Amino acid sequence: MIRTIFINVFRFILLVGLQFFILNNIQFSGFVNPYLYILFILWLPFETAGWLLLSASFMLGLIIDISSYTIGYHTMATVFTGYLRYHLLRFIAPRDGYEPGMSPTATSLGWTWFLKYATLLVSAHHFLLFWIESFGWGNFFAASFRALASSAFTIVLILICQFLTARSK
Amino acid sequence: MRTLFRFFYRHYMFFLFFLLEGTAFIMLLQQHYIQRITVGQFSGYAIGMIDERISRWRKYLNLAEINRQLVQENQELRSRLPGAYYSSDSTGHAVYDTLRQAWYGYLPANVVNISVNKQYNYITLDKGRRQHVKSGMPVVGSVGIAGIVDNVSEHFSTVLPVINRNFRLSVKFLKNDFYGSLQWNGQSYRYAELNEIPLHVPVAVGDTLVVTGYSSSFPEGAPVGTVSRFSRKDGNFYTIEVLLFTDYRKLYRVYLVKNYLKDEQDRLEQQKNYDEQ
Repeated sequence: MIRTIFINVFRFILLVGLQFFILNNIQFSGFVNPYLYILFILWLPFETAGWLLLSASFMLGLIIDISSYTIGYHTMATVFTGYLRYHLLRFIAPRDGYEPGMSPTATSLGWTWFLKYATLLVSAHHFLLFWIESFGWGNFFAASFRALASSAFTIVLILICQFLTARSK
Repeated sequence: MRTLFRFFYRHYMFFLFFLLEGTAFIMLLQQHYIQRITVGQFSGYAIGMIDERISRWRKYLNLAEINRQLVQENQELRSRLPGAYYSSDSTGHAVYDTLRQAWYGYLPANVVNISVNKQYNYITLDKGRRQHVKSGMPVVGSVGIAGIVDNVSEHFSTVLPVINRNFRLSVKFLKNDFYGSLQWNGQSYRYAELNEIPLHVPVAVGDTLVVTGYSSSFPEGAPVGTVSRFSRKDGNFYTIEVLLFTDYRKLYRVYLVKNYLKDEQDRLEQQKNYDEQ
């Protein structure tokens, strides 16, 4: 239990650091910006309580917002992603529930399952974020295109992270 | 009462989600006010310090590009030195020049943080209240205008660049002085949009646009960009796409423009308003 908390706090700090120090500084071709920090929400253990999941999402969004000089954009997107994850995992749960102590990773549930799960949550997060940011229908298609390109990038990065951690075990 | 509690308990996820999302949304709406507090007080200092570290590395990696820009600028400035002109003065003695009084001063500053891929982009500079930077001061790069100072903290200041959707600036054609309003449509960081140019104005691709002296504190005639494309939208106005001179992805060093005569101008204009009331 304590080990799980420790691992997740460490992951939180690592991902926020990675986002702030490296990913926010790489600006590929002016409009693709990967938001890898969302991996924190994806990898939280199955038995994370609903209130904890939402509060953690809120904190994550708030910290990312403060460090990138925006207010509310990332927070709205992460809270929505956390809520979506809660319902998604309940919806697709096996009849006898998830094994205790497990996390939704590719090692525990397979690469295909993880890819679908990550694609759904990452695109939900990115599309919401870019739409809120563009604020209005005038730039709807431009924002959607940016969201699509950035989602693809983030998913590739998430798979790389997954691959690296899977090998070390 | 009990059923009410049970109802809340059963759907607590939904209510919590609603509460947190609502909080985030209110923060988003109050964004400008909150940013004023945080940038000025807490995060402006802490994150400014970290940003400065990062920018030191970034600057190291981009040394070649910075050098090239500085050399080009030096070349430009040297060509304006008195020694670069042929003197046809035959009087031969020094004249104390009271005709030309310094109007604008330039304070160099380094870019410590910049974004180009958001809708509301900002630039952070390493000069602040200590260097007498004030909100509203214009900022120019080595080739064109860069933005206007937004918030100022002790050591840093944030700049609203042209590529922020809140940016508005009155610009005019260099060739015929027709003016319109420049803003950004949020699409490419290289292009801005010029509106309110009536259809009878002769527009051509490649026309240079400069700042007007009316609404802004920029020196009149500061270069902005060139016309890259124009089309006639419904109504009696052109929509003109402007290629900005300043490339925000290669912006490392800028100048804060200080208007020495601004206080005098403001005093005079306030006086006039006072008399009218």
